[in-house]
Amino acid sequence: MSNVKVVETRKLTKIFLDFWGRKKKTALRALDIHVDEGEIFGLLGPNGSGKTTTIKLLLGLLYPSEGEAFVLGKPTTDVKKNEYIGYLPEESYLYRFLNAEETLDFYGRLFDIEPRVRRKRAAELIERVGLERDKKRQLREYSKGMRQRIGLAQALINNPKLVILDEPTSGLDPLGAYWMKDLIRSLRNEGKTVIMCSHRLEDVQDICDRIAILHEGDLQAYGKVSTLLQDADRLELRASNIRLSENLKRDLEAVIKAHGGTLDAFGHPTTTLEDYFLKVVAESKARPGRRFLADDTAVQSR
Amino acid sequence: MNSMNLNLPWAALSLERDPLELFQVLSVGSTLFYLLTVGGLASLCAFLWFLSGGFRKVFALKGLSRLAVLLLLALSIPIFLLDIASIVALFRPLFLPADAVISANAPLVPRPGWADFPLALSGLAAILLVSAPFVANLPRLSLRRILAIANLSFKEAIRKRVLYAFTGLLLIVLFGSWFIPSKPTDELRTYVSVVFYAMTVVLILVGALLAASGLPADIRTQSLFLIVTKPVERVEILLGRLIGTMALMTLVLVVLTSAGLMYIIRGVSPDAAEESLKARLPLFGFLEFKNTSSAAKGDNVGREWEYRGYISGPTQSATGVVSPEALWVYPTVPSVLATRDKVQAEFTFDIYRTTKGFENRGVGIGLAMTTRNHDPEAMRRAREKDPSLSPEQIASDHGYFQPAGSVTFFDYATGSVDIPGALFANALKGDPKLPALTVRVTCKESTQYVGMARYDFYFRQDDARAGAQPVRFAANFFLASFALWLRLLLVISVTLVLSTELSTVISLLMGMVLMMLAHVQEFVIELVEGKSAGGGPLENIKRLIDNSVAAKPLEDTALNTLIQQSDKVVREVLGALARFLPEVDRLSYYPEYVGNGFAIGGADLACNAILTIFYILPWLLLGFYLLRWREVAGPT
Repeated sequence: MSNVKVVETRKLTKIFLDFWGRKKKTALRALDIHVDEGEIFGLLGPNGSGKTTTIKLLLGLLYPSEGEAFVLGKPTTDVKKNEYIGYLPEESYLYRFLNAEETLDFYGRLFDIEPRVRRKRAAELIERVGLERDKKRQLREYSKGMRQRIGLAQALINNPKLVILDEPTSGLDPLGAYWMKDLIRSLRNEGKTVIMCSHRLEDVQDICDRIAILHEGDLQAYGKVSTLLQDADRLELRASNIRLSENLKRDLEAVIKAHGGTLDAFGHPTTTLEDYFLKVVAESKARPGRRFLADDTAVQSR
Repeated sequence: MNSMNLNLPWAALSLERDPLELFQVLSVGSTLFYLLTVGGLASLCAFLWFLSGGFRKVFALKGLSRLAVLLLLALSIPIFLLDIASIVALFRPLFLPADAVISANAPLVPRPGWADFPLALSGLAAILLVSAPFVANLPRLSLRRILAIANLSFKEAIRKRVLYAFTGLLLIVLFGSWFIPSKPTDELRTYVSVVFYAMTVVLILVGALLAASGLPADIRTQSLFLIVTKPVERVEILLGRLIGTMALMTLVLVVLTSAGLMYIIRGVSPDAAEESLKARLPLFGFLEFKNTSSAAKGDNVGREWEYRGYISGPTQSATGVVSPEALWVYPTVPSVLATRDKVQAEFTFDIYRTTKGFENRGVGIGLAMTTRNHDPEAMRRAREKDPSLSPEQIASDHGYFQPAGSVTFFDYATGSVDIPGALFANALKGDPKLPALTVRVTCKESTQYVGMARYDFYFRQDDARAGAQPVRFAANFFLASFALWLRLLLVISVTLVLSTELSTVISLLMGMVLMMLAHVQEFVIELVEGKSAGGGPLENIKRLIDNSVAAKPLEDTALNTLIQQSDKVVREVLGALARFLPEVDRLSYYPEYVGNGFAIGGADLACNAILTIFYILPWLLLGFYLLRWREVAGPT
């Protein structure tokens, strides 16, 4: 992971207006985040929290009401930035009357890729996502999992620097989800930057380096997963080859040593991401408003 | 020599509007009109954008770009002010007396003629200003991407089985002959009408539906998300969709035209083929009348259709016997006619009878042709000297020809006369400032009237004795099909642009309404000019409610005055809108050429193609902006 900022937002705000230009909803309020090159970044939040709006703003599907955002150093309204982006939407928005080969060929042509390169890359990607046997079938005959696979393949057809995945494991069975997570990790290993949003917190915890949690358009938490999940009020001891008893509780180190054991770990215990997420949302509901500081190394003060 | 031949069918072109010539379309007047109309609209859009926040973007520009935009904006001010004055003028009728004449062709804001040039320049500046972002975008466009989207549209229509819609047309081809009359004189005309009518309705409806549904469906199913998140310029989507839809419709049109043509050529009876399966190459002159109430329109016999002017037989007047004449004047004649032994002249006149006349006997007319070198005195002397001079010799030496014997003709029949080619050789000589040839027609019968229009008399430039000409006919058929292609291009472009912002149903409806208004453009102009019976729309509604006849003037009441004044506002608005309607009517007349066996003029068709393309360009620019400004995604 390097310090090159692949994505940067500055006071990014999106307000939806009605037909008469009156304010209908503030979907995102003054978002300040950045995503570094080579990391997997997770956007979390309940439905309507603003995470998909953020992605759409980054992709240029929506235009900011205030603030600005840059992707690979270019404004989000600049079409040229798309040359380096791969995008997998939540639902498969692919053309179902095309087959897998035609789909990849079509999106490859949109990147102005030479026919020879396009064919080669399409064949590699079809193999990578395991659809070789079904490449001639129209997508309308594909299952949800197969459509996610071909969707991911189209997102990679241009060998992108930044891959944006909206709910990549949604609707996949455990095996499919495992495959997808594995593939996302391999993208990081290839040096690509990945932004994903997901409701499956265990997936995010598994693969994301950093996350941002949004609620009702406000950034609530932002930083490294490991840091955010630390519980500073408690200590955790890990021991092996020993059975826990009341005596051990009274004088931990002495007892462990006295019983011939080894101290493996000593530090703050972590809770699960799911618990943390629910806590953040509950707090946000109790005390609405923006409370987060924008330094990714900072630990939240709650 | 009696060279009359009345066995031809009734083949006549009724052209209420003259075919276009390139010099007309590319004339200064046409260019001024275009710049004033499109430039006016462009300046209105530019200033609305500038005043509603665009000025921030302009001042954010740097260096020459900012200077250029500000300069173009400043140059657009005069045409913008004219726009504002025109909008204000729309409400002018409210303050004018009820009988004030409003004309669709008159400018809304009266101005001296010289003002049009600077205003047109201002309009050009506005057009340049508005099209600058589009032009700046052009180098970024990729043909590969445009064709990829075009190919997608093509595949989509095919795989979604849209082509099934056209199979209905095959039924017409298979069973049409059951319902089509077999009278040889009408057979081909009817066949051609049926085939083109069916093709027009189905192709335009399906084309408009495809154009209206593509983009809204992509937005609804969010398939467009994956396209706009690629390095695709928004206008590439528009162009790709347009090319794809047009490619499909072109393929269908070619197949249907070929099938229709085969159906006609194979289905038409040998008699009808011999008579009608041709593409005459007519040489038309300019018609004027002499000794009638109007030199341009002849006499009016009270026919509702005022297409033809009439001449009566010889009449007695205070100065003696007067013989009304119709003159076809040919400023030049093509030299190829001079090389022929015989050239055929054909004519189709209308008879207006004031007495029943004799059964199965036509009306006699006098027909004489003179060239610019004709000297009646010299011809008289030559005839006296040698009475055996042949008509060919007289035509050659004295530039005069008159068919031997009496010339009679019937209603609904095309008459023909063989003219010596020598007459045309004579016409080519002499002072080029004088008209090369004049054809003089008189009515011989004092109780009958003969009606004629410009296109009722012509010389055949093609070989009149060739009989059926299936190849020429087929080429002509495809030209008419090309005119239908232009109509498709028009409908599909307009509907597609509308669909960038509106839903499928609304854009389809708006596209169709626009085309329907364009078809009744002449009626709209009549309405605007106050020539339609019963006044304007509101007055007509009141007449319907009151059950009063259109000819009776409304009573002078406050309500009626209000209705009439409001109608004037409606008429002004319609007049302003009529300027923006496409010339669809011109494109829809070509099957008449084919059905009547006349070759379609290449220049006319080229002019219509130019007009269509220039009409579409502002629409595509509108589509560029609509799609560029549009947020593809909505709230989630």
